[in-house]
Amino acid sequence: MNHRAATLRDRSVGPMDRTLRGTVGLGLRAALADELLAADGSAASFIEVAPENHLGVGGRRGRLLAMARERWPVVSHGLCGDFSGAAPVDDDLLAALKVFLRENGARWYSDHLCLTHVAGAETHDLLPLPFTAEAISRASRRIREVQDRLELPIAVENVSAYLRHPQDELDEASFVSSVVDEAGCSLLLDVNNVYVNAVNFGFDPQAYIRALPLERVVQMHVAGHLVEERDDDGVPTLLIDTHGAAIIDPVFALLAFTVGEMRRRGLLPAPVLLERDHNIPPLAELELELQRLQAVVDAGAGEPRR
Amino acid sequence: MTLASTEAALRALLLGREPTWLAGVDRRRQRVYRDLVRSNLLNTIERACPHARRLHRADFDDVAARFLAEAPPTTRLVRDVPAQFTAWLMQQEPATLPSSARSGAFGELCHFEALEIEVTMSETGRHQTAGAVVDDAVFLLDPSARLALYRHPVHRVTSTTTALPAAAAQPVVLLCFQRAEQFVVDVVSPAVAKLLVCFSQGQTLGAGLGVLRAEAAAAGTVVDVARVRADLVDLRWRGALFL
Repeated sequence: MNHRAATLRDRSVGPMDRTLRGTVGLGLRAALADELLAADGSAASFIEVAPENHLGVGGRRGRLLAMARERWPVVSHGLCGDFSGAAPVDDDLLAALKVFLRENGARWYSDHLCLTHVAGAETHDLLPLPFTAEAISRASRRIREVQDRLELPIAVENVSAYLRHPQDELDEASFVSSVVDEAGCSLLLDVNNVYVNAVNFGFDPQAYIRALPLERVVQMHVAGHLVEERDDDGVPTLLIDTHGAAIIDPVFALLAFTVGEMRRRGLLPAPVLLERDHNIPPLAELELELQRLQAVVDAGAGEPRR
Repeated sequence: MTLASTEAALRALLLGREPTWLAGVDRRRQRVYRDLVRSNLLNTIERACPHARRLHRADFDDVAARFLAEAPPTTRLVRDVPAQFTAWLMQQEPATLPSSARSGAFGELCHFEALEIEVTMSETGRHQTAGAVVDDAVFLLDPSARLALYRHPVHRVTSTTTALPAAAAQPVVLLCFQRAEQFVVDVVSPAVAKLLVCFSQGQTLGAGLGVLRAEAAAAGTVVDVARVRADLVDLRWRGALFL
């Protein structure tokens, strides 16, 4: 643990994010944007967008974002931060991102703790990092650099994974915690990813949650996933994080556990984002899911918001 | 194994024509990543070029897989992947491409289809229809406007077209732009195209016409200025240009 670095570089989100604590939100997707914007109301208290899908973009997509911004606070979540890759920071992209974040009133900016570029190629996917001291060092350095240049707190997201590298030196929770500590950054805790990885690699998801610095969590994600493989008894052994199905009960339960653990540590629950990118159902179905998420958050937090 | 060697190994696993498997890792799990990465990138390219793929699916898929292996995307914006693919495709020696891709029409069609995405996602300007079309007028192209020069009339390909178009007698100059969130394509004359290039360089209408007149004089022809002005008024009215 490098507490000196955390003290010097700490841009964790403090009081500024309190207005969204205890709320739930929805990702803005083109397939549901018209319906969402036409609705009289929504259980969503904020929306999330991927800046890479909006930088320099006009037309219908630009109009939809402008309309959404009038109704909800906008949270920005990146897709290709590549916090541990060898490729240099893309200066033009970072400059455009900074403008976008300012225009959209960002309170923090999140991206994934993973590899997206590999040896000069952009995969546009979230690839697992080896859990090594070298990866911690490189990711921390990159996060601090991006954090300083964006002049915003950065939150890194724990990613779903389907393989582990033989050279791993740490377990995942220790790796994520070390990066957050070394970088002095915040954490976007994807509860579904914890569940997916717990199944895929056979660990206790509650122990994982307990091992994290929950005071650093500024936002949470939940989503549905796909069962790719089962054992002879029908028990899932490989889950794929598709964002293409409804949230399953065990993930709701893990979210409730997480909110309860936050409460036990004297923390307000971080805002929860429902991710749905594929097989998008009618909005009414997503609204029911949002309402259930809000009920879980309210129950776990101990004092209902609404 | 360092991060650098991990990256190189992942690239060979994910993007090579055939996978180079990581040592000590379950191959089924590696296959998951290979399939996810490739299907995402290839679907992005396929969706951008629906007509080219429909007409020559096997060759299209072969060329796209070659792109991933030889010159994979470097852009961090997924919407720019099709443009990188078509730029790479149009630089390839025809002899190295599958038979259907050698005519030039294949690459041009891919380019044109990817251009539609670029244009419809671009920001647009604030259009003005007032202002006189006088010689010292400074026209601005709408930010979404793109000029494209093709040897084949690929803009005529539709969902019912059954073959790639033959080469046109004259080069086909297309002005593509966005209006009311829709993709608009205009065939423009070489004279208007030249003027649009002059405008993009900040020249006035009078200066642009001077360039046209000089070239026409050298070729022993005359510029139909009235026709050119009428075309500009039409393009301005339709949102491709503004003053």
